[in-house]
Amino acid sequence: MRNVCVIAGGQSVWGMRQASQRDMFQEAGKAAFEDNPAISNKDIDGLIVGSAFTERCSFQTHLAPLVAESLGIKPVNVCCRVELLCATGSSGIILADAMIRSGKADVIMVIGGEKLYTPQRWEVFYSELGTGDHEFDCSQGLGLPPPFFAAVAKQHMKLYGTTEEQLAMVSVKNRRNGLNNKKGQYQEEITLEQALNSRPIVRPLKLFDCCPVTDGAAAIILAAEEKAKYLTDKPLVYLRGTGQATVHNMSANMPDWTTWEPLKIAAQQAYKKAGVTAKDINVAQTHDCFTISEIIEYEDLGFCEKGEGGFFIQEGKSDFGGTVPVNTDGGLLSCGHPFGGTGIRQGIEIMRQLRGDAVRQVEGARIGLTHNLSGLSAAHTVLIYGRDLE
Amino acid sequence: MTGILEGKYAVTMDMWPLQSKEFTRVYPFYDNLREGRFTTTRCRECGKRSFPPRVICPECLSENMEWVDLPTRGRVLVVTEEEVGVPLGFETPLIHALIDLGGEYKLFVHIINCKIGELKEGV
Repeated sequence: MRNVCVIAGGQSVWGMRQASQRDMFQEAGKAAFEDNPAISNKDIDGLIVGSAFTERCSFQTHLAPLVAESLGIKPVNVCCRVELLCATGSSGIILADAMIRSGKADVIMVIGGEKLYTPQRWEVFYSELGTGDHEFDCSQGLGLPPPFFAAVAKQHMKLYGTTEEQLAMVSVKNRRNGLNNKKGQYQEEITLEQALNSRPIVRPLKLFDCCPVTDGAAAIILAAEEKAKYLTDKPLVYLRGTGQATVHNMSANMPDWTTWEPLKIAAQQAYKKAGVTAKDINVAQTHDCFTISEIIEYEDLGFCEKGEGGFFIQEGKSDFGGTVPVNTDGGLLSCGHPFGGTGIRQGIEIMRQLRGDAVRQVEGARIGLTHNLSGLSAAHTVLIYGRDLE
Repeated sequence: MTGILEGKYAVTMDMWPLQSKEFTRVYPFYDNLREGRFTTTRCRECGKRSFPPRVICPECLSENMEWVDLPTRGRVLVVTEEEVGVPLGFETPLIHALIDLGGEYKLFVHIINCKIGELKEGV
């Protein structure tokens, strides 16, 4: 088996865009090539494209050849689309890793994104009714996730004493981290007071506890180690371990609302393959779709004991200078969340952190982690990257 | 931008009824519901009761399934009240509750005919 490296990455501007899905895929692809001018579209022998709502919001299927054509890429080993809603991007990276590792391809671009703002503002809310179990959960009005995550938050607060202030602190930290991220949806700090006084969406979740709806795309390029050494002068970043787990889909079959079993399984798989433990992680990008998610992720990734996630944020342990800085580029709460783009954006930030050229750099970071949840916390994806192989 | 689309933008809901005999093999669930019975399927081979109802047992893959009744009373564990961003086709506030149906299933369901603050946890 070969080793796999991440050699370039970039994204379009994320936010409410006056641009089509195809425009943003072009912007993201170009940004990835600009990140590492030694690599060109002629070097790419595989293309994996991710988008969850491409049919619904852009009326476009068979997306990969369209993206290939618009970026001047002529893939010969793989050219297809993947989908796992909010973890679409990370799923593409897992598959690219497997293909390169096994010798089925040498250099793969994984590119993902969404056009979610359509002329009718209700459209995306309605489309979300296709993301859970359409007949048995979504028929109950459960598609847009706030009611589900509010129910998670209420139970976590009751069980472990987590407070609304602790939830708000996650949002304040991530907005601060996203302040200088020029391609994120927001570059504005918020205060704890603002977060706590923002309008309720589903109590206890308020406006700033929820990530926004976002247009955008991101692209990352992976290569076999020997190719990577030839293609780039930048420090090599290895993809060391991956895990993706699911144990249920609809809410009725959720084994535990406050301990996310598939997250623990995916993390253990990734740690095992990478030969590391939670203690070895220097920087992490986790799925902060809601503030409560990030708090549970600290716990179930093993950054702290179960039930202590609220204290982990309160004591600054997930901030710069803490145990493990989390969502150093702003996360979903500040960058936004174009589903297919998110896992890729996280991978790019970890690549930059490990290369040492991040906007907000964690000094000396050698091992980084990304985590996505998808659906109503029904599937979890964990990837571990390292500057070293061991 | 919406001006040029005035009257031209089609609202695409489900394109056919998902609850009818013509389009789903679990249509008895909906027929039973219309008669006031809340049911699901149980596997006659391994005994596994699954929700949502299935045509094939997800445990042993048997097709030998029967319809059984689920409890219609349960304890309210959590209540959520959505005040903003309710999807098309649902009214604001959109109220959900996690209901414990006696241990085997906890269903997170839409509560109708209910005002904000009316449904209490623990009932």
